[in-house]
Amino acid sequence: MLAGSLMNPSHDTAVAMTRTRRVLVVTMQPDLDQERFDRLRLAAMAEVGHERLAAVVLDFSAVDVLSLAEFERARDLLVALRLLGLQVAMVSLAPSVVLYLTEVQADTEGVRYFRGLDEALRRFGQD
Amino acid sequence: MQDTDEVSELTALMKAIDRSNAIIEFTATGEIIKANDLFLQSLGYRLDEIQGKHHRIFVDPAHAATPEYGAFWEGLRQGQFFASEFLRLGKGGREVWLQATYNPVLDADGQVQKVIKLATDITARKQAATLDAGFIDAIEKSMAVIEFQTDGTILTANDLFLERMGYSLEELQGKHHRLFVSAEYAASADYRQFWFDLAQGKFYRGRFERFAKNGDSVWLEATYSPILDDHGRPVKVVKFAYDITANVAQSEALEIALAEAREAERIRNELDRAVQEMSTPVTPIWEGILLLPLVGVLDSMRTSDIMNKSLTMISEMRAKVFVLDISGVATVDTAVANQLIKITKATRLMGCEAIVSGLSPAIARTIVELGVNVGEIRTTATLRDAFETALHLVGEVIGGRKEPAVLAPRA
Repeated sequence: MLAGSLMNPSHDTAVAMTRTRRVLVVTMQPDLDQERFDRLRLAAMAEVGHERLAAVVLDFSAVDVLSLAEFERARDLLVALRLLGLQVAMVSLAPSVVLYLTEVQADTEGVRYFRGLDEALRRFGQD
Repeated sequence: MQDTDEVSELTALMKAIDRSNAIIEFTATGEIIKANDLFLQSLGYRLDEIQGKHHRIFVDPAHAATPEYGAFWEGLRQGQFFASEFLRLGKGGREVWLQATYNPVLDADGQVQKVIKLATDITARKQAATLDAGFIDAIEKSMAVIEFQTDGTILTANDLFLERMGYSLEELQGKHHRLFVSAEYAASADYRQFWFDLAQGKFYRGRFERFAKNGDSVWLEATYSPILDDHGRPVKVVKFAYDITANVAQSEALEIALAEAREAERIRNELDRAVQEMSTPVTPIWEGILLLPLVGVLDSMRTSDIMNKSLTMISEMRAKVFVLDISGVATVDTAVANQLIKITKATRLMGCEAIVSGLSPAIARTIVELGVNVGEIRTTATLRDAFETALHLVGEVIGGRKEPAVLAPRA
């Protein structure tokens, strides 16, 4: 059970973010095109700037299909946040998505991966 | 007064005949005296073009030269009457069929004074009949045809039908259609209904199994067509049929072959599935721990299968640790090492730790010599070591539970 608050700083329905203590959880939408992702990135960056956060987690549990470009956008965001001193992770990647990313030899370095959100939160001391 | 009436009546009659018939008058020797408009129209001449000429201009020159033609005019001179369908030639040699009577007109001495020909142009009907005859002839030559009374009694059949079924016409005439069907079918309600429907004018078309005289099965693609009289009542039934026995036999053989092929494919698929299951036996060996012992050759296709199944199992079982035991892998070269790296990398993206066990000193040396970058893959020499590590990672010890070790997925 997450003890946090649902935020939507820009009142943007494409961006679903939840803060649980010091962990910002971003729920990735299945149809996140470049424009929507830019809005998500801005919202996440704004949140990081305002709050004292320890980690940012991208939750892919609602995503069945992910293109290489979409994955790279998400990874770039996390790597950038990592440079700001945050711990970053992706959780709940579907087997089909993982298979695809492996086949296309996507660069997956620089990010941690967890089976589920609960494990990530536990890992980041938020249980 | 009475004579005047008779003359008027005769005049009216002549006018009526003139309006409805093509009429031409000849001398007793065949020279044309006059012709009415209908005749001229039928043959395409003007009167001045034919007046005084002999009848032979209307017939084929070859026929005009025959003794029969001479005898024809001799008969007319003798007062003989002729009625028939005659083929004549119109202007330009166009064929014209006339239904005609040649009527010698006698004088007071009984001598033929002239010959009056009354004719009706039947060219269109004759051509249609010729065409129909051509169609019928073509059907007779290419199809088996048999005719029945509406109760199924055989009237006649053509040679093709007789030949195919092995009967003579005499053997069939007067017999019933049930001669060609099985005893069971002949006794059935369906068969009675079949002939009841035909007698009501219902048309049937389809594939029918019939039996020849020698008992052989004969498949016919056939139509049963009731023939109606002028009042629309069925008077007989004509069956047109093609022998498709060979096609049916081929179809049956093809169906059997297809069924065999389908069965063979099913068995092959089952075998493939079984082989695949055996080649990638991903097994949960502890809560949160999956084991995949690999045996044999590891190629890219098998790697893909392993990856598919492993990732699905990791997701379903929510495994924390995936142990890949390669003790049974025949050789580890660059390709195999790269495939292993691929699997462990994919495993990590699922948030699951991978351990490759079963590395012999020889294999470890080979990997180093090949310069394969194994990155941060966790490896152990034996499966036992791997299991111990896996238990530690999931927070278990043999004989008791301890706090789980913190999994630290590599960044």
